[in-house]
Amino acid sequence: MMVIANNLLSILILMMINIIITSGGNSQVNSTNSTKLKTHPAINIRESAPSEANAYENRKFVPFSPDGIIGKSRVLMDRQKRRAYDGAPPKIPHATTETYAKPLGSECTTCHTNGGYVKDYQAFAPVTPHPNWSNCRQCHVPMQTSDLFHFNKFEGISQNELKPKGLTAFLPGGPPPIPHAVGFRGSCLSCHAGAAAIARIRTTHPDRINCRQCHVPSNANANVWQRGSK
Amino acid sequence: MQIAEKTRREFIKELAISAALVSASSLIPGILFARDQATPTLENIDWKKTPCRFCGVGCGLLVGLQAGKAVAVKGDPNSSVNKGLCCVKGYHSILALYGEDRLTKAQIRKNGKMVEVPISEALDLVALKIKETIKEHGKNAVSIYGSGQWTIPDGYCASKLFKGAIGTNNVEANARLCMASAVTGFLTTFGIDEPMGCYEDIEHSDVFILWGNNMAEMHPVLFSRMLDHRQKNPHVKIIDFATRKTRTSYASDHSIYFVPQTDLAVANAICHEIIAQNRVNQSFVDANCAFKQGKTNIGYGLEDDFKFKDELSDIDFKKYSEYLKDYSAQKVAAYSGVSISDIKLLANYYGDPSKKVTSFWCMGPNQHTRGTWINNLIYNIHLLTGKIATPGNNPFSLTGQPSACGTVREVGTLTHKLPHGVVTNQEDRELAEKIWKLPPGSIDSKPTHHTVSMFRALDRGEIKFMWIQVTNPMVTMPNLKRYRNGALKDGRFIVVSDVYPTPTTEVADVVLPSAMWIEREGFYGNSERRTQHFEKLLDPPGEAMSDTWQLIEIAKRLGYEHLFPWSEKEHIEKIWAEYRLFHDNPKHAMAPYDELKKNPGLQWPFVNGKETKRRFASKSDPACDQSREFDFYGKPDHKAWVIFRPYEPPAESPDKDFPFWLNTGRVIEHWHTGSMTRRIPILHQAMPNSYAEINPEDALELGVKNNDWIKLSSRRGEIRIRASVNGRGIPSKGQVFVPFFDESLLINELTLDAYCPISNQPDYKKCAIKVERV
Repeated sequence: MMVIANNLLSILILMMINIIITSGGNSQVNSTNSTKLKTHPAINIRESAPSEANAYENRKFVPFSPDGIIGKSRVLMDRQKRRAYDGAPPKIPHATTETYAKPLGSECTTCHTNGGYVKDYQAFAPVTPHPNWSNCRQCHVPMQTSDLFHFNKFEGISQNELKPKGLTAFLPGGPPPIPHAVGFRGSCLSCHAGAAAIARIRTTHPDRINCRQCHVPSNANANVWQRGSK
Repeated sequence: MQIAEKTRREFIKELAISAALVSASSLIPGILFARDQATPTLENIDWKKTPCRFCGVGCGLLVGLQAGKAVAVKGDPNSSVNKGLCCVKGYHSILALYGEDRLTKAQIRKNGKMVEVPISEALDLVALKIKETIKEHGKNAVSIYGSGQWTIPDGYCASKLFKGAIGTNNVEANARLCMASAVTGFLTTFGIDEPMGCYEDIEHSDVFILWGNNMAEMHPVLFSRMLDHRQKNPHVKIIDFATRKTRTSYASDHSIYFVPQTDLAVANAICHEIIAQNRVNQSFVDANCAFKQGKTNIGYGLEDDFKFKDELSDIDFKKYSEYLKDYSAQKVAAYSGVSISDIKLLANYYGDPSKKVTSFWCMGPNQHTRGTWINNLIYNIHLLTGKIATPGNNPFSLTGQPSACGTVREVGTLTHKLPHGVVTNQEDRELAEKIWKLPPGSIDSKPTHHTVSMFRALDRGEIKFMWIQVTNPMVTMPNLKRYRNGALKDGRFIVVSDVYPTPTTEVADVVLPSAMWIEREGFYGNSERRTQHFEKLLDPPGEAMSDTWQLIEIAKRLGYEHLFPWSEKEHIEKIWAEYRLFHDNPKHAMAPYDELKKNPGLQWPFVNGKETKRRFASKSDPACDQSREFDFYGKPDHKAWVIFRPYEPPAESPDKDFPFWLNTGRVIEHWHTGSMTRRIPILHQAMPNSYAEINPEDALELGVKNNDWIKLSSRRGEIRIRASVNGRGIPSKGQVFVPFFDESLLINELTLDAYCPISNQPDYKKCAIKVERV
């Protein structure tokens, strides 16, 4: 009896913490319609105590340039096309010159540190999630040709095939965990906010800044921790 | 709850806020070197560790496996080498496994045509040819030419089979073209091979001096580690000492350009300045250095019968200082193209006792007709100032290939070497004969051919049989035409083990399909003495077989099964256990198999369960005499040798007929001859063909614009190639740079097969060519 009571108590505490600090019910990667969030069978949080999610979920965002042009919104497919597999560094999708500026990398970071509208490409420049690295072309290379030397049969994992466990919030209205490895993408807002962000993964509440206050990396394969276990 | 439609003004406001937030977020300390990247979040992907397939940095990778295929790569955050970061080749390395034209079946030449056969038939033929050749022409008519991309077991079995069982020292590897001068540099100065420092020194250094080293493209992960260190410590300086403006130059604080070959003179001028400014670390020098000189006017190895043996004789500090008088800043500035103030600047950085200095170099000093000398000279600077073997003070010779250190240098797959010691030393031969269970006298005491000499012997017909594994000499040999024609002559039998068709498989009589990298179990050893194990993660395609097992299959067919008595399942573990016996001493002890399996690499000497980060410093190296602060135990006198080496001109310099210097090298996208990386779509598309970088002023004089076709010719050959003006690299006036990865633009038909007489490594960086508009 005591055990059950303890469990119930801890669930209740968790709920309360959620209610107090959660945000962003709509920042789930694969959820386009947040109103379809399943509610917990026992307690209907949405009705009993509105979470912050409600305050944000219907926010809309239309990217447009300072001179009023609505830029092309990037979609997940754009992201996929530029990578050999999910997690690979994307290639440079636009023309570049081999003329560099000093310091190295400034020819890229001019546009990709803060983002903003780039007239030449009629698009918003995505913001680098790792501005501290300056040898950009160590990982990112532009395409000079679409020809192949020989066909390659490689098939990498792609974004669309990913349905990792732990993607959804533990409780309705709660913050979903981070569904991908963070690695050098520690600056969440560079991909999840701003005009260049892919619409489907754009956060509704970029103004909260400290993303990892509520969203934590998930470890779908981790076992349940038990006291005394290693 | 519906938020009302916003006005344009509100949109702008929100956009501004979110843009500001995005840029602000970059100020929030993110993760420089990932800690949490190992967290698996993707379902059903099995992440396995392996060293990267490509360069000598030896990054740790995690390869994602799903349904028997490699599907993703990430940097291994647990690897102290790269801490989660890779370069574009590493991230796409697994794609190299899946090129459509992978060799999956053996081929043999029948009536001039290559025909697919079962691999056992091809192996039978190879064994038969070895037997016949030895019977008709003697054991020194057969040879094996391997690679710094051989795994340690590959090189070990090649050495055991050829040097031990067959009894010929015709064992060489392409590391001769890459690291031989580094080896002889270490051996002459320290008496023991491989760097004393480690990559961690990067985080302790104040100044980095890069000797002819375009690290931004060639060792990008270490380069980024260095840039990261400078970003956190703005006092840190990176000095680029080069012949050509590269990406590295754009990232460096100061670039100093020198006339090819005058690095020898500038290094001496730095030493001269250090002495003139009274900045010699006298107590270090007194305790740890001996002064020597070697022979001069030592030649270039252009003649087939060229022979040279260096002899070092004693001099003292006074004599050494007198020799240096020819290398005052003023005198050297007159012919090196380096200003007096830049020479003094370099001497100041090295001489300033408050600054920790790391020197990095790779092919610039190594591929040099005085390669051993320039390696010695860089050590001289570090020895005079005592900036060595302590955190941040590090003369660091970077390695090109993933296992040039691990396999070629440590296993010793060079004509004069054994896994421990050299063939000319009786004790070393006896140790090998004991471990290999061979009758005494099995190993020949005379070295035979180094690489250039071996291909010349093939051309002349003294070598009849050559087995080439994991390398592509029909693209990489200097003065290539001679060696290709030689390989194609009647009576030569060439066996090539590779993963894709290459210009080298085209000259083969037998092609054996190889299992690549993680399609078999193996080890690589990187630049910082780190041995890294990788499991067999994938099945090789078709009948492809690991190079190790191919060698074992041949050994069995030659009647040496008793020397290679291992099962296919356990052979790598058994080979490792046997190989470790050669290094069973605190100067070179290797980690046990189980430890290597668990860890993302371990540095040798691995003594009492611990890695040795820095050698020769008693604090960190258990092999040192603990009563001394430093112990350079490689030499019998326990000293490091400061060897005076003069400036001597290169083998071929520009003249009236051929007025330009030709320099060759790599680009970041491609690994060596591109046989793997060109089959990776993103890398080929980023860098589809080779090109010739020319100086913008020269281009103007020649009337050549960027992307125009030009003709380059030397005394040995010519190619038509597109010009690159103001492109990725900008050579100094009078110089041309051409990458060598492109098998359709064979720049090595122009290069000269002159080599350093001590290391026998050819100079790919200097020969004379003509540039014409076409």
